[in-house]
Amino acid sequence: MSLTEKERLLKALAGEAVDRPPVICPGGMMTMACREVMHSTGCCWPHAHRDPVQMATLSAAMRDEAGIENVGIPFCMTVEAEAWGGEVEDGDEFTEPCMANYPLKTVSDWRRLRPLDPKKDGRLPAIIECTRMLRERLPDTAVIGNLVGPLSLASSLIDAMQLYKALIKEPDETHRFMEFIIENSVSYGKELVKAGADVIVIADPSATGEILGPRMFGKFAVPYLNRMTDSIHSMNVPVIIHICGDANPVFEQLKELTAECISFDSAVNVKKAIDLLPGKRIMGNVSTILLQKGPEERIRTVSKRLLDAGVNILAPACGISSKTPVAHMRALTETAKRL
Amino acid sequence: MELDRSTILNALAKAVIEMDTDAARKLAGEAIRLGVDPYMAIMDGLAKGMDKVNELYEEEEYFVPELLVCADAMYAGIEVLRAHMPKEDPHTRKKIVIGVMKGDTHDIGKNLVKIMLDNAGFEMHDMGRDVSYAKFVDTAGEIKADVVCLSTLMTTTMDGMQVVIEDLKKAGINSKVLIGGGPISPSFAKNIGADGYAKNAAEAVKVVKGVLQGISLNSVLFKDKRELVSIERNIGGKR
Repeated sequence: MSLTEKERLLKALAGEAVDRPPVICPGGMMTMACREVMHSTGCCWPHAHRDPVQMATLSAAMRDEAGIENVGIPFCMTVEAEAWGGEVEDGDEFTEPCMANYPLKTVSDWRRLRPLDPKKDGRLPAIIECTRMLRERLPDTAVIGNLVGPLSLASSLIDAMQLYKALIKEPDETHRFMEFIIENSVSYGKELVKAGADVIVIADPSATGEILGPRMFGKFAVPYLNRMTDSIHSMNVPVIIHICGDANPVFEQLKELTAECISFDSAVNVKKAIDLLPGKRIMGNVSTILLQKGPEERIRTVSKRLLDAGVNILAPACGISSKTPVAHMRALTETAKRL
Repeated sequence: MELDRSTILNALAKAVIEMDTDAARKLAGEAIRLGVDPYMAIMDGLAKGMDKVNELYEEEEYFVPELLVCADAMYAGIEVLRAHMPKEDPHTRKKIVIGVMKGDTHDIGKNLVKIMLDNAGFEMHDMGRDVSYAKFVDTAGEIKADVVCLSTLMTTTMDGMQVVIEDLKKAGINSKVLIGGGPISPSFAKNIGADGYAKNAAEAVKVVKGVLQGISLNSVLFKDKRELVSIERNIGGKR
C-alpha cells in the first residue's frame, strides 16, 4: 500500500486500514516548532506568530527536518481570544504567546463582544492565509487547522477562577456564553476548512477531567465540543479532540464525544483508553519532557511501546518545548516510519 | 447555649460544604450574636467545613469549581468574623512569596495554594502570573520571605524554576523554595534543588509547615500517604 502522508492520516482517522499509524504534531496548543528549525529557516518566534509566510515556512520546515507527517498552525492558543480584543504578550523564542489580560470581568460581559469576523479580526486572516499557502505548497501533506476548545477560549477571555465559579453560580448565563463562543469558533473553523485545512484539532486544556470532574465536564465541555465537531463534520472534515491532564475521571463522558479521534496527555494509559473507548481512534502520547530531554533511545522505546499498544496516531502528549532537539523529534517520527 | 454553639458551628461547616455563601455570612453574624469566639467559629466551623471539602476533593466527589465556590463561602464567613477578632501581630506570621513562572498565565493552582496557605495563617505576597525571575528574587529579599512558592502548568517554563533557585542563592537569600504544578514531579524538584514539592493545594500547607520546621527534604518530598499523616500529626498541635 503506497499512501501519501495526507491519505494515511485521513484513512487512519476514518478507521480504514493503513500500512502503519501516522505520526503527527498538530500545532495550535500542541505547538510543533523547535528553536533549531527557527534558526535554520530564519523564521523565529515571536515574529513568526504574526507573519503568515514565516509561519508557513517554519511549520513546513518542521515537517521536512523532523519528519512530522503534517503541517499545523498556529504555534499558540491566543488567536481567537486576541481577535476578541484580549491583549497578548508575544513571548520569545522559548515562550509561546499568552494572554496578558482578560477582556471580560464576569461571564455576562460576553454580551459586549461583537461576533468575530474571520476576514478582519486580529490574526484570524493571517492564519487563514497561512493555511491557504501550506495547502498549495504541500498537496500530499495534511494541513491541520487548530481551534481553541470552548472552555479554554472562555478562560482566555475571563479569569479561569471566575469562569469555574460561574459554572456553579451562574450556569444559565455560562451556557449562553458558551453558545456565543462556539458559534464564533465554528465560523472561523469553517474558514480554515475553506482555505484548505484537512483536519481540525480542538484542544481544550482548561476542560481537563481533573479540574472539572465528570459532572461539569458532561455539562459544560461535552455538548459544546460535540456541536463544534458536528459543524466541522458537516464539511466532511475529521476532528481530533485533545484532552489535557488526567482524563481518568471523565472516561464515561468521553464516550459521548462525536469526534472520531481523541488525543491524550501523558497521564493517560493508551492501552486503557483503547479498551474503554471502542470505536474511537486514540492519539498520543509521548511525554514532551522526554522529547525535550531524551535520550533518543528512550524516545524510541516509548514510541514503540505506544505503537505496540495499538495507538492509531503517534504524537507528542502536548505541545513540545521549542528547546526540543530536532534529533529527538526524529527519534519519534522514525519509530513510526520503521513499522 | 452550649447546644446553640455546637449547632451553629456545624451549620457554618455545612454552609461551606454546600457552597452557600449567603448562609455562611448570615451564620457568622449569628455566631457573633451568640457570643461564640470568632476564632472558634472559623476553626471549628468554617475551616472544618473546608476540611471536609478537601476530603470530598481527594475522593473526587468535588472538583476545582466546587472547591472554589466552597472557598468563597468560607471567605464570606471569615470576612464577617474577622471584624470581631483581635489583630494578629504581623511580626509573628511567616511570610510567603507566591507566583506563576514567567511565560505562563495558568494561575488556578497557584490561587488555590494561596487560599489554603492564607487560611493556614501565613502572610501571603502574591506576585500573580507570568512573573519574571528577578521579581521573585527581589521580593523575597525585600520582605525577607520565609518561603518562595513557584508554580507552572507548562513544560516550557519549568526550567525557569531552577534559575530562580540559583539566583536566590547567588543573592544570599535563604528562603525555602517550594515548587508545584502540572508537569512538576518530586524528582524534578529534587534535581533542581527545591526544598519541597506539593502535589496539590491541600498538600502544600503540610509541606510548607514541614519545610519550615526543618523536616528533612526526603520525608517532605518523597512521602507516601502514611508519611504525610505523620508529618501532619507533628504539626497538628501547632495550628
